Amino acid sequence: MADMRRKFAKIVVCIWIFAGAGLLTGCWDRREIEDVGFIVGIAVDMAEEGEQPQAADEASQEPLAKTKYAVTFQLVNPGGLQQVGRQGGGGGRLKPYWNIASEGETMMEIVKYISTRTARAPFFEHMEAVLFSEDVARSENFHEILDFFVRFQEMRRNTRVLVAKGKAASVLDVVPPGINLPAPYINRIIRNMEKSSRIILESKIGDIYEDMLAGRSFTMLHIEAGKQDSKLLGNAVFSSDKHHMVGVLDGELVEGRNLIAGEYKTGAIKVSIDDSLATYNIHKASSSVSILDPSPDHLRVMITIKTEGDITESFVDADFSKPSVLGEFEEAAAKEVKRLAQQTVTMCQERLHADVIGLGHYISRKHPQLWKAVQQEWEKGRNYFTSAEIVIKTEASIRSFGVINRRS
Amino acid sequence: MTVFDYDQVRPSDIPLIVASAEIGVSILTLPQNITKITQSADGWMVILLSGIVMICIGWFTGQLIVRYPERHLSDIATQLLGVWATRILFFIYGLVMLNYFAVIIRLTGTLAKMYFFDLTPIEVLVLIFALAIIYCVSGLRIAIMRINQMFIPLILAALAIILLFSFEHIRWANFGPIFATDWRELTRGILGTLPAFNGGIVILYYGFLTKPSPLIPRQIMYGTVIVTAVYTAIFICCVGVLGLYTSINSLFPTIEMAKEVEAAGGFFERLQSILFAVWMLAIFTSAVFALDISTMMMQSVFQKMRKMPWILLLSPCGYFLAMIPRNDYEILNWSKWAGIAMFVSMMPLPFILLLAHRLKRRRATHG
Repeated sequence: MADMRRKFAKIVVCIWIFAGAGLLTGCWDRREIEDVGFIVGIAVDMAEEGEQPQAADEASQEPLAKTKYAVTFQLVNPGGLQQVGRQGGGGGRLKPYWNIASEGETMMEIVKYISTRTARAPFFEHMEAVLFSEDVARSENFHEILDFFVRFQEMRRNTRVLVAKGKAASVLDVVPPGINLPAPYINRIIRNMEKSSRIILESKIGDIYEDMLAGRSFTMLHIEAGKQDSKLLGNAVFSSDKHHMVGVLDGELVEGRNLIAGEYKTGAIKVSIDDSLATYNIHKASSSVSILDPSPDHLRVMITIKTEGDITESFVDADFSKPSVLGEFEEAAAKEVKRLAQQTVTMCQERLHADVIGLGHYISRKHPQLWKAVQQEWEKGRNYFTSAEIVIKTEASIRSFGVINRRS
Repeated sequence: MTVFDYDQVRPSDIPLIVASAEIGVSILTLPQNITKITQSADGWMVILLSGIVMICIGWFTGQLIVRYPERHLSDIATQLLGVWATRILFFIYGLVMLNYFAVIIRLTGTLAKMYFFDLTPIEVLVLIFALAIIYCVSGLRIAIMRINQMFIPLILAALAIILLFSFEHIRWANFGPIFATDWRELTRGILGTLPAFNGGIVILYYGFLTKPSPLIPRQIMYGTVIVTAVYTAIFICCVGVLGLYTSINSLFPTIEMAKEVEAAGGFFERLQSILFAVWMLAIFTSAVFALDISTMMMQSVFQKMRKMPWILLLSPCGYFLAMIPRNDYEILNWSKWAGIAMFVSMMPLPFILLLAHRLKRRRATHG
C-alpha cells in the first residue's frame, strides 16, 4: 500500500515538473534577437496628394480619416553594421540600415503594415529620434498623430522629437562619413548642440506631453537635411491650444529667448559701437523676473538680464585702460542684449502668440494666485500673455578685454 | 554565546520585515493617487504626514505585542473581545485580505502584460504568479519572515540605483509652487495615501513569532520610517522627472519614471526591466502576506480545518476574484477601494484591543 502511494506521488511530481516546465519557460513571448527589428528612427510625412482619402460615403461604415500619412521607419541591419566595422567605412554592399515606408491613416495601422513586410518584428524601445515634416506639424490635427508616441508602451519618454524642413524622410537618409546610422547621428548632433546658445533643448516627447497636458505652448528642434550632413536650424514653436506648429524661432531669436529664460550657455554677440563692431563673448548670463503690476488686464512685468563676458575683438581702436571706455562698451553690449531680448519678446507676443520665454511657468511657480486668474486664457482667448507689457532691463559687465589695451 | 534562533523573529529583524510588508503594489500608483488629489507638487508633505500617522499606529501595534508576547492574535482577541466578536471580525479580515491578494495578483499580471509580455494571456501570467505565492504560503510562517528579510535589501538597493540615476533628470522647476495646497486637499491626500502603508499592520498578525522584547514598538516605527523615506524619494523623483501633469495622467508613473532613466550616459537604456524584476519581489512579499493572513484568519474562525486545505480553498477564490475586472480602469479603481477597505477594517484593531486590555485591567484591579 505504502509502495503504491509512493509510486503515485512520484507520478504526480513528474506531471507537475513537466507542466511547470511548459509554463515557466515563458515561450509565449519569446523574442529572439535575430527576429527583432530595432527601429531607431521614424519620419512622418504627409502622403502624396491624390492619395488623400475620399470623403467617406454615407453608405460606407469605414472610420473617417482626415489625413493620410506616409511614415518611414529606420530599421537597423545588424549584418551591415558588422561589415562597416570590418572594412572601416561603409564600403560594403550591405547598408547598415534600411528605411521602410508605408502609408496609412493611423500610426498603429502603418506599423502593422510594415511588420507584414519586414522579416523582423518592429521593436521601438531603442528609438533615437522622431521626425515630422513641417506640413504635418502645421496641420490642425498634428496632436492626433502624437498620441501613438505617448500611449504606446514601447515608446520612451526621452526620445527626441524634431520638425524637419522639407521632407522628414530625407533626414533619415543623411549619413556623414564615418557614421553608420542616420537616426543616432541626429541624436549626436543634438548632444553637441547642448553647448550652443542658439537652441532650446526642450524636445523630448515626455516634456512635450507634459506641456500639452499643462496647456502650455512648446517647442521642438527644427532640422534640415543637407547632402552630407543635417543641420539644426532652431526651434519650431507650437501653439498651446491646438498644439500645431505656428512658427519658427531661429538664430538671434533663440539667443534672445535663452537670455530671457536664463538658459544662455555661452556665445558671442556682435556689438555695434561708434558705427563699428566689437565681439562680446558672454560666458555667464542670468535673468530675473519681477511683476510690476499684478492686475491681469494690465500685467506689467520686468525682466532683468545680467551678463558677464569679455571683449574678444574690437574693430574700434579704443584705449581700454580708460575706465570710461569700458563703460561705453558695457553700455553698448547691454543695448545689444536688450535688442536681442526685445526682438524675441515682440516675435512671441505679436506673431507666435506663444509664451516660449517661460513667463507663464515663472508666474505659476512664484505667484500662484495671479496664475489662477490668468491661467485659462494665458495664450488663448483673452491672451493675457500677448497683452502683457514686458519691460526689459539689461546689465552687461565686461571682465576682460584681451591682452592688449589699444591697437595703435 | 548567543545562538541564532531560526524559529523566532528578533526585534532587530522587525524594521526590514515591516518595510518589506509595506512596500508593494501601491508604490507604482502612489504618485498618481496623490497628485490627482493635491493637483500640485506638494504631495511629499502628504506622504510625510501619512508616514507620521502610520508611525504612531506602529507604536500602538508594538505596545500590544509587548503586552501579549508570543501569543496568537486570535488568542488575544478572544480573551479581550469574546469569542463571537473575534470570529466575526476575523472572518471579515479573511475576506478583506483575500480581496487584497486578488488585487495584487491581477495588478501584477496587468503590469507584466503591459510592459513585457505582449502575447501571453493575462490569465496565465496571473496564474503563474499566484502559484508561486501559494507555494510560499504553504511553507512555514517563519520562512515568510525570512524571505522578507532576504528580499528587502535587494529591493532597497535597486530603488537606490534608480533614484540615483534619475536624480540628474529631475527638473526642480516642476516643484513650484510649494505650499499651494490647502488643508482640505491635504487631508484628502493623506486619507488617500494611508492605505499605501497598510502593510505596517501585518506585524501584528505575526506577533507570536517575535521574541519578547521592550524594543518592539520602536523597531516597528523604524520600519515605517524607512518606507516613508522611500515613498517620499520616489514621489519627488517622479514629479521631478515626469512633471506634475504627466504624473497625474500616467497609469503607473513610477514605471514611466524608470523608463526615462538612462544609466551611464545612455549605455544602459532599459533600466526598467531590472527595476521590474526587483519590483516583483516587493509585490510578491506583500501578496504572500495577504494570502497567508487570509488563511490564518479563516483558520482561527473555523478551527477544524487545517492550513493546507484553506490555502487550496482560498487561492482559487482569489484567482477567480482577480479575473472579474474587465479593464484597466476597473482594476485601478478596485485596487484603490481594496486598499481603503483594508485600512478601515484593520487599522483600528490594535486600538480596540489596547482599549479592551485597559478596561479589563481596570476592572480587575477595582473588582
